[in-house]
Amino acid sequence: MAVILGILWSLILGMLIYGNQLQNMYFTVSAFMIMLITILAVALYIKHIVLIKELDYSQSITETQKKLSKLQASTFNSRFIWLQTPFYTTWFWSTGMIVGNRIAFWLIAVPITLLFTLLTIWLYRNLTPANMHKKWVKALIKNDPEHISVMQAQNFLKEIEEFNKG
Amino acid sequence: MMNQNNKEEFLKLIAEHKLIIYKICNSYCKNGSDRDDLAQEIIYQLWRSYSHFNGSVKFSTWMYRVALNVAITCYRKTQKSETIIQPAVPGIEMEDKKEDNSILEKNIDLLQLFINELKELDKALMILYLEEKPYSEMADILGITETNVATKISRIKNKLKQKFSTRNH
Repeated sequence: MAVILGILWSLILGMLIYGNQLQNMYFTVSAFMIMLITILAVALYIKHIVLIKELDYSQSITETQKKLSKLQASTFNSRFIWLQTPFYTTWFWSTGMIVGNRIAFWLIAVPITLLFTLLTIWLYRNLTPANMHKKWVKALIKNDPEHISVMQAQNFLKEIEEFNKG
Repeated sequence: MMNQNNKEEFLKLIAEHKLIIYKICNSYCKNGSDRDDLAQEIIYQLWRSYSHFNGSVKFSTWMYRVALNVAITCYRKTQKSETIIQPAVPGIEMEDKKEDNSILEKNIDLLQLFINELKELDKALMILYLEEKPYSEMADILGITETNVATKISRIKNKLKQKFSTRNH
């Protein structure tokens, strides 16, 4: 589902960029960056699906399950999708807006973009598997089925490690 | 791709070892349709991996690896497997029929219930143990040492004994 939505969204953005014909550079750059990040995320999802499908089930159980759980847990690395957030605050910018309404632009639009940029960078750096145990991460991801499966995969990895230890 | 001879050889081997698939499906799935789905997935994965089977281990060992891996993966995906009262191990079932003893029958059901309450990997180990597989083969299938196999079996048996005594008191 996420893959289909990602592809559809990329197509819509592609059409919007093509329709804009570089008339507004701010819109073009913003839409292009969102499209690029979405395409990368879709590619990562597809790569994961392929890797999981191609997994060799004839290896020992602990080895196979460890590989599978690591693959499932690594979907958390798709956190770079957050990096597109600031571009949602810039695609309506225009030269007319910057020149014609400077005060509103510098006092409202730019601080909002800066805030989103800082928040995005902070989330990108902190929304890592190592921080999964923290309350704010749990609160943020508690209803996301992808992240729930990531947590389950990480718990199972711990179980495998314990099983290997004896 | 498999040629005709390989296909026939594969089908023959699957027919000879089909009990392994039944046992694992019974152990990891509660209802009939889930069991059928799991059996299909196991056979598909066996067929997909068969070209890599080089005979370095017994076919049954290789088959246990694939089947248990698929079963554990499916189980974790669906989390549907709950308690199973059906006997999954033919050895137990046969003994049950001979004895025709209601207490024994109850105990077998309880044993089955307790085994199904174990974690996925422990359950896999117990399936192999009840099949009377040598420790070396169990170690090979699970990817742990023989010493570890022995330690774990002892721990699980103690755990099961405790559960039995708790249930009986």
